Amino acid sequence: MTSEEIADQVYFEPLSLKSVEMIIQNENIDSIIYTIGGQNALNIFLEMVESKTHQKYDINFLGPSYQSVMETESRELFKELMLDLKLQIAESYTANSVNEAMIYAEKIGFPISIRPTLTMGGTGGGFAEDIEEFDEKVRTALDLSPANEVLIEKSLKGTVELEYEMIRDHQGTVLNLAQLENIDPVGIHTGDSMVVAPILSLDNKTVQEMRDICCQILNATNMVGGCNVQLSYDPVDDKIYVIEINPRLSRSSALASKSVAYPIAQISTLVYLGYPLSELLNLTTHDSSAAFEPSIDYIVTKLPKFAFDKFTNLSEDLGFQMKATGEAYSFGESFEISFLRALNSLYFNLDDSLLKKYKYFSDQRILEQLGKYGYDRIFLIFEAFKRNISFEQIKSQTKMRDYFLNKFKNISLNYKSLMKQSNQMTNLQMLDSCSGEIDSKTNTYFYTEDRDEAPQIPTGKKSYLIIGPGPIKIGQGIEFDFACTKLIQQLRKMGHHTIVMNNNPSTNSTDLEVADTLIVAPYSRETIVTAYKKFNCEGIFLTYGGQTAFNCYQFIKNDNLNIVDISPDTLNITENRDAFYEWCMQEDIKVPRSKYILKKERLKDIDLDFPVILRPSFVTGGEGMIVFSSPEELNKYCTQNKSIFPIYVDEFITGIEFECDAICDGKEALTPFFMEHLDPPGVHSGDSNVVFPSISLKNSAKERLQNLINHITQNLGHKGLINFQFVYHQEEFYLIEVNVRASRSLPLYEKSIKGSLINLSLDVLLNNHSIQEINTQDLKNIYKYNLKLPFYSTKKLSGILALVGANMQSTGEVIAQSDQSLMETFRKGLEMTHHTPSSNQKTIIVYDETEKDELIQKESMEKLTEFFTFIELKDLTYSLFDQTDLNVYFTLSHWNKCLYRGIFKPEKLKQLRKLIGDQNNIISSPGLLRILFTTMNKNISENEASYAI
Amino acid sequence: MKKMNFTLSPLNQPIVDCEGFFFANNLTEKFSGELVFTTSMSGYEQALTDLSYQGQVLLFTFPEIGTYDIQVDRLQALTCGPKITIAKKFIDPDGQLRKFFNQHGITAIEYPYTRELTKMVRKNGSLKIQMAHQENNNVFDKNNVCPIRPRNSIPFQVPNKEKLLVIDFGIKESILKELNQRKLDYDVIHWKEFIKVGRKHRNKLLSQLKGILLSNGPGNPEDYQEITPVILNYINLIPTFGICLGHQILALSLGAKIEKLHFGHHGNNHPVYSHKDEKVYITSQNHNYVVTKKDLPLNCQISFTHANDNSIAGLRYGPMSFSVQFHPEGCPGPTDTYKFFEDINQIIHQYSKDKSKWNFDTPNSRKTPGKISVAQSKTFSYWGQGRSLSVRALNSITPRSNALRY
Repeated sequence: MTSEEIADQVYFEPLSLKSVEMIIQNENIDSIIYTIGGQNALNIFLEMVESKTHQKYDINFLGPSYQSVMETESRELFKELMLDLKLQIAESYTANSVNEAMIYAEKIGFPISIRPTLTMGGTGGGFAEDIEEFDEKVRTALDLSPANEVLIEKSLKGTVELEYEMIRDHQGTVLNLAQLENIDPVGIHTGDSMVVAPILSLDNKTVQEMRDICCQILNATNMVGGCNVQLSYDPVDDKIYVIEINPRLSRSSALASKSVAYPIAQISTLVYLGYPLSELLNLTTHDSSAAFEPSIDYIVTKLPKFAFDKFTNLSEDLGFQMKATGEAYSFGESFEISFLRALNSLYFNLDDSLLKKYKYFSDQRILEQLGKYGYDRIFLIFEAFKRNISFEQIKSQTKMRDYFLNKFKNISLNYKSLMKQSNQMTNLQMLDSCSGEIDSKTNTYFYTEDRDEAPQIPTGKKSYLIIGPGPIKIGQGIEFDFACTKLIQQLRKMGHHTIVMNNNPSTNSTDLEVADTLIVAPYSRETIVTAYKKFNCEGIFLTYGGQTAFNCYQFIKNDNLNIVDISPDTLNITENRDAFYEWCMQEDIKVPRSKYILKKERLKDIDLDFPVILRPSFVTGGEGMIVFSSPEELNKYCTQNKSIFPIYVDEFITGIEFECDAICDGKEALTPFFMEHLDPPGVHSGDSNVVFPSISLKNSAKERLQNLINHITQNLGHKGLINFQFVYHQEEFYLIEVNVRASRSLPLYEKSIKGSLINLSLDVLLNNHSIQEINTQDLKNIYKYNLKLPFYSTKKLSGILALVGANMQSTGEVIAQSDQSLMETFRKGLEMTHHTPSSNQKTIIVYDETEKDELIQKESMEKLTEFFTFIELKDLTYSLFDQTDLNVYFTLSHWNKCLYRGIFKPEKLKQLRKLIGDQNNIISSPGLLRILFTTMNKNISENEASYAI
Repeated sequence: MKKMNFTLSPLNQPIVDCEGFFFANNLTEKFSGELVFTTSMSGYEQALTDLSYQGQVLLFTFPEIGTYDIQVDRLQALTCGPKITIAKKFIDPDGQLRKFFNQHGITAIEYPYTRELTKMVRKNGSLKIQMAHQENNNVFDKNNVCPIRPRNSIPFQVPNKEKLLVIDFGIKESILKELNQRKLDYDVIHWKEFIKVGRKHRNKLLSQLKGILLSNGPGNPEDYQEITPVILNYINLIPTFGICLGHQILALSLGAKIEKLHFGHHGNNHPVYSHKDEKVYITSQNHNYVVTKKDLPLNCQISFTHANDNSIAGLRYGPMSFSVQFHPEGCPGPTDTYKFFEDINQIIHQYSKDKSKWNFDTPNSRKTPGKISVAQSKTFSYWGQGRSLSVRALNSITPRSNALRY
């Protein structure tokens, strides 16, 4: 989205009315579209109309009117509307206080669902079975709602949940573009649900009745553009309930759009501009009208990806709040194949081990767990059917429809043969939105048993296969999709035919227009090799899609494919810690000392200086990485977790961390600039606050680093993209990591320099250009100051404190840029991450007394009191090594209003809480403090900072 | 499952041998018919009992048929529509689906390459399919309509009180259900019987009936030529309506021409453009023939156009008669156009209230459109004459005339 190739002008600004106003003035804007950017954008629109800002600038709103939006967003108006239309909704009331809520609760009777209004992803919502639970949940919800309003509602838990993707134009034409059925019943957020399209378990009468209801609502609210309606169907009394309406494109729109090959966002935009649907051309068939309803001849499955493997202390039971961090989708001619493919996409390299875990559960326990809706319920269902637990029992626990349970039973009993079947298909079928009725052209394909429809590669074109990033998980987010998309675009510009394999519906690389050919499939040896051979590919790219794509190397290394961006020799060194350590010693490169430990008994052989860091090989996002400050701690941990061996134990080096992405031609490496981490090493680089170009490096130091990376590349012989991480420790640069792939920080480079590292890397890889031939003008940065700040979902994932450490925890990031000063950039960044100081909320910076002399000077503090309140505490040292106290932190989870950065001792937290009060944000991070005070003290010139190295 | 061989004969091309599997076998003799496909994703039990499919082999493009239980109260007829049906997979965990097939005498075949079949039909237009026997006879091009049996055996009596007369060519139950729901009093008469009765009791019927509705049915409307002179004696003298085949027969009676579509419209997702409302409705359609646009008689005004191929999807024949090519009752399919029945209701109520107010045109003055008083035209909502009174102007309006190409 934020790429310059997509928009004419890109602003990196906080998403607020203020920024929008600034852009309106700058660019002389006359119309605004606000329904494509999700709930944040819609909220700005509402704010804008309410403050009448649009009148000041004579802004034309393209999209549904304020009235239409309010009728769907405000619970009261929505209820009135439903009454007018004689539609059923769950009995509900809005309350602004706990007392009011209690009165209604008595009226409705339990179970009751609770949701705050105007929040995203159901934040703060939940179910209450009794009055105590109710009281607690209402309080949280009231707190979270910007409107201080909470909706309490009779629970529809256990009924069938459905989503209709609709579109309506100004003329009143209403279309139902896709129907999605949740396999999980109402009660589990749709984002967390297993979903299929089209609706499978309901008969035509019900399906049409619901479609009719959606049309009625859209007409009554005078809706315009894409819109999503959630309904529930109660099979017991054959009643349909309307749950909610999103007057905008939503998470499901992307899935719907890519499942039926109807470009919902594009057509919506044209509708916003005033075109009637009947005058628009169907972009898929190029011959018929856009005013039609897609019909599909396959079954789509979407499965959510959870981060439970990372947040071990997170409550695993699903509910009203969305907990999934990503999703995978798949197609198949039968439910079984489609479902297995989605499962395979989610659990890379799915094997029996996932199922084995449940072997030792008693029947009783399995049934109990099933009723709890854990994220792993699907494996429990498989296990239950394997054991012949009765269908009725499973049904009463899971509340799933017979159709799905029958299918799960079939999968469970014929797991291996179905798996084989799904993997062995070699023919491709195209998504055409019309079940073969009209001759169409789209780029999306899936493997089928029907006849082959694979597209012809235009003669004279070389084709390349690109492995996409797959489902988003923490540590591997949208940044790799960005790299892939850029790669695809550049390859196409160079005149090549691009074939992309991916299975994540919410990425650009699975867009209907990005790649020449898109194959939606799980990654396996069969799927990749079949695609490669089918299209007679010239080469395959594995390193741009991040670690997941990179890991595909294991499958195909013996298949003799031309892997453009990986050389096995380099990989043998970089991906094997032992070999890497050996190699570094040999090349005289300073690295932390490392030890490979095969089993527990060998622990005593460790001759490293503590603290040490423990990590397995082949990991993303620091899975399983832990810091230990003494041999005793390490021993204790290893005794408790016997299964983690073999492990690597590295010396943990403190200092300042630098990172850079570079292109190399096998002889030398070229990087636009070095990035400087503001947080200490040990904080995962994904969670670090990063400033770039670095502020602390003098020219001489940069030269030293440049020589070092040249030296490394020359010896590795690597070509293409590479990522280095160094720590400056006792006057020396220690190499702590080399990744021979696109890295998480690559988009930061792409968005802050004129040219593109990705494009240049292709020059090297495909055109055999050397570094010397590259135009260095392209590498100049656009803004003087750039900052990356991590974004945490602490509010969403209840039970998590943003406790930074070796394990990556942030779920997003922001980039702030400016030419004025670092301070200005920093303020922007804080606003973007919602640390905005407001009238009743202050951002408080906590620091330790020991930091005072080193970092903080009185005069600088005074200058900042406008924005922040400072609190000095004793003994607040960041204890990166305090793993033993972790559990204590988690029990404090109900303080999820504040964004903790950095680690406090628990008793300090309590003390803080008292001092600060509930209303304020706390920021504490060594990095932030460092940047704050360095920037305040001096106007930093490019090579002279207070910490110059 | 038992193997099942069949052949496909594309026009001017060699015969293709195919192998599928019997899911339910009720085949008693050799069978040949036209292969048609429906793109509906739900409503299989309604399609399989839709008599309009008689004489055809119905192919489901959706790969799994039977994902939900059969709704017995929503079947469209007591017998089968298509005798043979093909799908990738029939889902039947409790044996109910197979029972349904056997009860209705439907042969169900599982065939793995249904998408290829669909594309063959798309390419070839008519595709003859022959079951069980390898010999090739060309009965297919001839009249292949199976006779629709009368719904009841009691001879038709001219009703004593005012009623709507439904002429049955193979009517779907849902149409009658819609009439019932609007408390419309009706009698059903088999079309062959109407030829006799309609000739014999013309005046009596004209004075006694509130209106006539021509139902849907299978096959080519030109095979029903003998009924058209009889219909001509009723159109515009009393309110006259038609659905699908009924629509084609009405147009045919007035002198319109019929043409065969390349492979027909079958499915739940067909967009029609309403000239009156200037918007699109999604409809359920099931037909292989359409009324030709060329040389359309002046008293036929286009009210709906198919938004994909611009074929005629609805006609008006003056102030109180209209017909539609699509199925306003849905079943299976969307309910966007339920208003059709409400308009029938409204018109016949007004008609029976005061017949003299209606400005009839006589059969002799058929060449000019009927006079329409503005006050009246308002009452028929969007089935009315559109924005312009000029028929030619109406005919020239096509959706996407200024379609955006980008």
